Amino acid sequence: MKKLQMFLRMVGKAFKERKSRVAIAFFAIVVGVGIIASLFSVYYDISIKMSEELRVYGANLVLAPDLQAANKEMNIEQLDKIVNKFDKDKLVGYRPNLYGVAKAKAKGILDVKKPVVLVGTWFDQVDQVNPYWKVEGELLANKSVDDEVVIGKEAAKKLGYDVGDTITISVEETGKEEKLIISGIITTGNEADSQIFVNLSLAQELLGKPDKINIAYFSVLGQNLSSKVKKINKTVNGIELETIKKIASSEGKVLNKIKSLMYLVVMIILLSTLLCVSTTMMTIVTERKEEIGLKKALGAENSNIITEFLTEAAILGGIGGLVGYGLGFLGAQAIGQSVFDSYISFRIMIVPASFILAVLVSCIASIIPVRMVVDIDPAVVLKGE
Amino acid sequence: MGLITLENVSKIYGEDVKALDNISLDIKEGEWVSIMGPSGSGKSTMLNLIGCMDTPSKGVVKIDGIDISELDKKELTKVRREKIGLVFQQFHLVPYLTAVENVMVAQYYHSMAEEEEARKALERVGLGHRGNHLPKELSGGEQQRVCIARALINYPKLILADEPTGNLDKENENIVLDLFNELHDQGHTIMMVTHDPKVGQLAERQINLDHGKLKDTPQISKERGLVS
Repeated sequence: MKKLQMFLRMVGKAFKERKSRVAIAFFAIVVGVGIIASLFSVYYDISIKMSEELRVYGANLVLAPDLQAANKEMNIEQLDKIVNKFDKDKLVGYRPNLYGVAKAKAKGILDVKKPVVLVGTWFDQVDQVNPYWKVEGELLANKSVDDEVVIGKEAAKKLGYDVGDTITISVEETGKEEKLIISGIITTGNEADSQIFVNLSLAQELLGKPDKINIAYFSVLGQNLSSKVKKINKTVNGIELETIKKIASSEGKVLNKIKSLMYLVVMIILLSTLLCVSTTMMTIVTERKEEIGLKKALGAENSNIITEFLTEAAILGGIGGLVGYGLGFLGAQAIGQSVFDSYISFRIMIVPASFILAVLVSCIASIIPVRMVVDIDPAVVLKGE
Repeated sequence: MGLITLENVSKIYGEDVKALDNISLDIKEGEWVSIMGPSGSGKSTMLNLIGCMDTPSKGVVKIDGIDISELDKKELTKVRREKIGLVFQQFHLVPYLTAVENVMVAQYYHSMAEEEEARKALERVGLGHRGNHLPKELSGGEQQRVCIARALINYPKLILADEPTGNLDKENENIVLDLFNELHDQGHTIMMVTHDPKVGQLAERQINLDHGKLKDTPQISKERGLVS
């Protein structure tokens, strides 16, 4: 205990003696670890933030009967099974579609019916799965509305309807016909602009396909969706979940580029921190050459002196790492606010990681200075040579 | 057999620079020996050998029966730590440690740092009241006395002093030499390198070196008078 007390006394006083030098090394560690901690904090959140940002571009997974299936339809229960395989907090939304051919009366022209694609869907999921849809008027309020319809912009133009008009939809195969009020006209930039949308339950009734759907779109957060999809597909028969390549791959490419850039920046910062700390430690060893020689003359072994220097380096690194993490976390918040307009979450694992990294950097940077310690000859130093 | 024995010791640097040339010497326990000679005579080399900071090129150096000629650096450090107390001309105190802590440094590398014992050692050299002062707050004489306290703290067999009064004024020189006298009277073995013939004459025996060789070594009585 007394030996440890004396050891700590020597180490503490050695720090105090060279405040300015120690401050330089400390500053280098704080800045280096700060930037790295900040980058890692942002990086861990970036996949989530990116994923959230990219959800604006729509679904990233699609569920459909597999290619071998004779019937291109599936039951709503099959959809529920797939839904249950995702974590609730990762599943932004999912929207099933049932397609069928119907005829719609054109406005103002008696008995002229034009073929249209009738789509049954859940409108409450549009904001989650297709947030880019532009709606003139309103979407259907809930799943039980059975007297309203939403039509695509092109279909509305072709048939001559506006919001508030009534449109008659009929299905020849079932002989069913409904008069529906147009609550909204949508612009999507894709084939949906030419389609007519009703609630899924109404479409199933009109088309005579209770509980059936053809396809379902999912918007899911997270990385490595492909492997998740593969796992899910192994557990189901007759249906297949697939990533929508365009969205998923662009997400992956951006993340990979950011990851490479981050690693490069981290390497450069680590190198510059190492150089700065190493140079400072070398100066400290040179300045303390006489003291080291004296200690050796008094009976200190190389291991004693090396332990003292490495302890100094480790303390410097440890405290620098923790302070650096604190600053890095603040930096990450600044980045999060300016780039994603949101805060970066606190991740406890980055705290010990910053601490260990800083201690390692500090100790590695001391390897060359410590080698100088071994070479110091007490006789030569004490003679003032 | 003496505490220190040198048998045909030579130290050769490079191919033929002989710092010490075939020296044989025996120093008994309790003896005070001064090593004298002009610059370049080999005093420092001899001090380094006996202080276990170097090994001879030829011959045998024995300290308390241990032949250090074949020891490696680690083993030499151990012998130095266990057997020798060093006093330097330049004092060589750790500047950021107080007087008592400077004494404790020697304890720390030897065995255990005991502050009470270190303070007693300072009292022994008349510096009990200066224990908490930094070296820069002490006079040259006081620094040298801290150095002597540090040399004594581990009860070494031999006190090896290199020009201990070389950096002191007359008053402090007398204080330090009185201290060496006391230590000698208490039975310590002292080996002191000095340029100053007056300081050298305080020893029981003078060893004169010239160009690495021993010259006549006059014997001096305990009362510091020349007998042969």
